Order: sequence, then C-alpha cells, then structure tokens
Amino acid sequence: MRHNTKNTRSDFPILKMRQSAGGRSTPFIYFDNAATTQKPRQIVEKLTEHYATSHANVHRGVYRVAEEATRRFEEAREKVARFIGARASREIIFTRNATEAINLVASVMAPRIKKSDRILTLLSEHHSNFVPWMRLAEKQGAHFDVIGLTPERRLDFADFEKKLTPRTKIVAVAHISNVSGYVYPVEKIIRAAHKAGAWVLVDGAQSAGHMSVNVAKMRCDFFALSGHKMLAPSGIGALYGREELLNELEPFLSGGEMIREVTTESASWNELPWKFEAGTPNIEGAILLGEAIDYLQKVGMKNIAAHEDELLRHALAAMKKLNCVDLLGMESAKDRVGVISFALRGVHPHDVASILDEHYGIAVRAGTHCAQPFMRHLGVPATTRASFYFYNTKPEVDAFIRALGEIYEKFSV
Amino acid sequence: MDIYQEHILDHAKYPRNAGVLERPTHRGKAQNPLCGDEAEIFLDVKNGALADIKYEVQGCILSKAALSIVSEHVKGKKIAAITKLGAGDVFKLLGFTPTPSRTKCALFGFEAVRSLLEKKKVR
Repeated sequence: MRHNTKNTRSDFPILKMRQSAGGRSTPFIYFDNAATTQKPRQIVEKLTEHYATSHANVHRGVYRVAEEATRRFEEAREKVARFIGARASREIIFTRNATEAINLVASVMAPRIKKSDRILTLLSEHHSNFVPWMRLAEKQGAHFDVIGLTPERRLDFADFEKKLTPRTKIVAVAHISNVSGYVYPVEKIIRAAHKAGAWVLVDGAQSAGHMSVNVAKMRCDFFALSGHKMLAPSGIGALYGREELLNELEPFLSGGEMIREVTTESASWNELPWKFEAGTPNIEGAILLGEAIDYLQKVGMKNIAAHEDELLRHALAAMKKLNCVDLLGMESAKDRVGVISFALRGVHPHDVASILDEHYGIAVRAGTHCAQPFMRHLGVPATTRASFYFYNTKPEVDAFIRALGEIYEKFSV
Repeated sequence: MDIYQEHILDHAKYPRNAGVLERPTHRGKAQNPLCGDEAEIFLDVKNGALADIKYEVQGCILSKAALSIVSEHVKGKKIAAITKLGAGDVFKLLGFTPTPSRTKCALFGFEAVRSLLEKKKVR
C-alpha cells in the first residue's frame, strides 16, 4: 500500500505553520530533513505523559515510579534493537547522537591500534566519521587511508580493495552520504573487510529513519544512529556493537552506572550495555526514540523509502529540465534516498538558501555539510542541499522547482 | 529584513576596488568556514593611511557586497580610524543588520582588513 502523506502531515504541527516570505503568507516547506527531522505531536504528547506519570532516575529506585521509568527506558532499548535487527538489546548503547557513538568506538579501540596499523574511511564521509579516525590514527601512529569516489560520486570499490590490507584494523563508512544521498554497498564492503580481518563501523545517521536496516544481516560490527534525524528529539542516539566485540573492549566514560564494584584500589565494570553508559542517561530521550520508532513502523519503512524515492525522481527530472541546475555529477536516482546537493548556475549556494527562505518560505541547507573533503572532490566551496522525508509532497517539490527557476532568472550573474 | 536590496545586488554585481595590488604592504586571506567563502585582501599603507585596497573574493552576494562597500569606506582613511571600526559600523554602511546566520558573510572580509592593519607590514 502506498503511503499517503495526508495521513501523516497533520501529525506535524510545524508543517501547518505559515510564515511571511516575499511579502506574502506562505506555507513552511521543510527540505532540510538530512539535518534533522520535524517531530510529530505523538512525541510531544509522550513526553508530557512521561513527566506526568513515570519520571524518575533509572536502575536505582526501588519505588514503583522508578521501576516504571526503568522499564520504559529498557523497553526503548529493545525497540531500537528490533528496529535495526540487533540480536539482543544489550548490543544497543544509548549515546547523545551518531557522532558520540562513532567517537565512543574510536576512543575504546585505541589500545588495539598499533603503530603501522591502518584505518580506512571514505572521502565523502561526514566529518563525524572522518576526523575521529584521523585523530585515532595520529594518536596511535597508524596510517589513515581514504577510499576515493568514482566520477559518478559513488564509492570506488576497486580503490577500496586496493587500500584494504591485512594491517587495516577498522573500516568506517557511511550507510548513506549526507551530501549525495547515495546508499553505499555496505554488505559488500563488510564481506571484504572481514576477510581482511578488519572491523567495520557503519554510520547510519542518514539511513536509520529512511530505509529498513538489519545489522545482523548486514554483518557490520558497529552501527551508529541519531534520534533527531528520525523524529526523536535531539540529544539521543544509539550505537549498535556486536556483543563479542563490546565485551572485549574497555569502557568509554567512567562514572556511575558503568560500575560493578569500586574499592579504594580498583574498579570493575558493569555488564553490557551499561558498561558503556556512564552517568544518568537521557532517559526521556531514549523513551521518545522508542516512540519515534513505533511511529515510523506504523507508517512503514518500505512506504517511507518508496515515497522518498518518488519525490527524488520527480525532483531530479524537474531539475534537469530547468537547464540552470548543476547536479555536480550526482544525477542518478538509483540506490539513493531523497537528498539532492546541487549548484544553481551563477548564484552562490548560500544565496540560493537565503532567497528560498526569505522569498519562498522554503528551508534548505547550504554549506559544506560537514564534508569538506567531499566538497573539494566536487570542486565547489559549498552546495545547496534539499532533503525530503515522508511528510513532504509533490506540490512542495514543484514550488521548490519554480522558485529555483525564478531565482536563476533574477539573481544569476 | 530582505538583504537582497538594490544597492547590495549592485555592489555584488559590480564590486568596487576588486582586483589585486602588485606590491601591497599588507596581504592576507580570509575564510568563512560556514559556507566555504574565501577572500584575498591586498592593502597599500602610506603615511599612516590606507592609500589603496584591492581584493579577490569568492563568495555569496552579501560577502561580495559587504567587502565592496567596506573597501569604498576605508580607502584613503587613517589606519587608526579604520582599526577602530566595528561590526556595528559595517551594518550601518550596509543599511541593515544581517540575521545571525549571515553575520559572518557581512563581516569576514572587513575583519580580515582590520586584522591585517593591526599587524606589521609585509614589506
């Protein structure tokens, strides 16, 4: 069954908002979903309900409200585990976001990285899946290798195979590029990396809320996600780690919760997943992430992916017809989610975004998208990026396309 | 506040004092990491005043226009007067105060000029 946006749009109060743009009242068109998604009223209602009935610290109190808070918190962990196909909820560690999840792995892996070992990542990565590895390599005296891209801006698999060596300890790749929207062939990468003896971390910040994910089937060792990019509030994310690996690794932060026993001489660690969760966690954030997952599953991940694909194809075809849009080599809709980075000829990306906002009420992103090596590869200082979600509509895309044409006419130099 | 006003578009399209100086006394680069904008600034200081200013800028309409407007204002002025200028003075010259997300566009060229003048000459 096709997803009908009419059924979901009314759940998002901000999508009903009108604003003044270009001297008139316009609807708010939100095309910055790769940065963060909007929140349905169910999330806000759940938060109110939680505070009104069940809030207490988790894993500590013996009173009933604390037990209920703990139950909800751990139930959310189970929802995340099921949502991404983990074998057990103890393989899910709550973090602030995908960035913290990646930094956690880069940090606890340090003792395993020896001089002349190699760390491999991809040119198009978000800085959050690039710089932590660069720093880890520097700290341990290891080599930092970067997989190149093809002229179509896809992952250059031959280059990957060339750079993957028996000394490569970890391969860190995005599931989906936040710039191109391209889905990378992670299963293939993981198979090859495991054969070479390397672990693989998949940055799922752009994929988790947009397609069905199954980490067990994918066979990745680590998977990172951000709640705020999939309807949940900001400040909650998750790391999936294979149980055997998480057991081998030392804790990340130290403090309460991650401890089994402390004496004046030594400390021992709690079991998974709490070993990696020092301090009071983002309790309500985790519960709302669970609520967001319930919402997404009600809409259906297949429906979400199909709807985004329809918007993507519609937008790409119209942009090509405009004759003033440069898709910077990212023309294909194959293996791609609803993310489009582009240049409007003769208009700076920052101006495109500003004018879309001020004159048309359309929110897009402009800049380097925290992917400066990718920008350098594209040969541009920055791009404008439009990114869709299941609540966006074809008429919104049409308004965006009309606006691009008008901006080109009026502002191109 | 619409930043895309006639005089801003005019300065962006026809930037005043754009170009390079062959033998500048001060020369430096400025960057706006937010959007990847870049400018190279060339200054010629004589007798405690800014005798000439040129620049090359790759950037948005606001960053181009702001640098053009600032260059017109500071050319010929005493160095002591230029280094005293602040963000508020630039906004007055522009005729509006940009939104927080565009403030850096309006200021990054000007700030480069000011910090160059606070430094020693290159020759």
